[in-house]
Amino acid sequence: MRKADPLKAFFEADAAPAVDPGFRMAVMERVARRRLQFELVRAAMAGLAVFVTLLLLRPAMLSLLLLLAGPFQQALLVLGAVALAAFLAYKLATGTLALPGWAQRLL
Amino acid sequence: MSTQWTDAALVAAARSGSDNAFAILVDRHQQAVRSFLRRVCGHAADADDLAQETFLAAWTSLRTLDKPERVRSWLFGIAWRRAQGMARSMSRTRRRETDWQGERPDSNQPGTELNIAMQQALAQLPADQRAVIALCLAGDWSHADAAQVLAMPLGTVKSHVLRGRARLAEILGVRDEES
Repeated sequence: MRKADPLKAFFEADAAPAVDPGFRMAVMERVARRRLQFELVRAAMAGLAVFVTLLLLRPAMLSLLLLLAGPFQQALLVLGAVALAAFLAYKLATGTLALPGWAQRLL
Repeated sequence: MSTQWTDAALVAAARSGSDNAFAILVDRHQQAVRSFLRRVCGHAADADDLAQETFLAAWTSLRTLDKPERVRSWLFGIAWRRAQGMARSMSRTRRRETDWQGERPDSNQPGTELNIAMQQALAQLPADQRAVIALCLAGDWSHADAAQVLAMPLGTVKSHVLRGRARLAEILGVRDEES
């Protein structure tokens, strides 16, 4: 049988607690913070990529817009008006858009 | 999630985004990592801060872990490199601050006589030797595993164990027949 190690008692007295919930919480808090940083960086990179792409496509998009503006002007105006009306109707129906006082009185 | 899961299963779950799995890994290995760092750093608050950084670095680079079943060795490797980095930066910044103060006493941890004696004894050993002692004598690691984790030649580890053990026994006034 192996003899007990005389230094073992010193090492056992020196050990950290077996499970420390405070330590775990501190680690998980730092993990959450790091994850948020990663997500912010990712979102910023995606925004930058979209911006650069639009910047590069700008000349082509402008010429396309000018090309389409003549023949489709009426249709674009109607589409825009319909989209605006639909958006306002949705906002009113879901109560996310507060009407001014006079408009509420009329209704 | 069961705490009976293997380390490899927990690593796989953590890699796929489970915070719960990572928290279990932290619970499972925190005592070993913190004890190791306390013995290497000699200051409980610094060691715990380093241990938190170790787990954070592990979470960040979890995908680079080749052998998930050896997560403990991997964590110790990260902890050791962080401890070395901290020792280098502290030796630069604290040299000026603590020249007149001497070593900072660990005021946060009310220690027993045994652990105070051990901390004082370990403080007298070089950092490499402390790390080897913390793994091989306190943690029961094999010499080969310790050599791999600490990136030291096997012969150096063996010599650190022998010399460190003898030195500790001498400082602590323990009769050690193995040295």
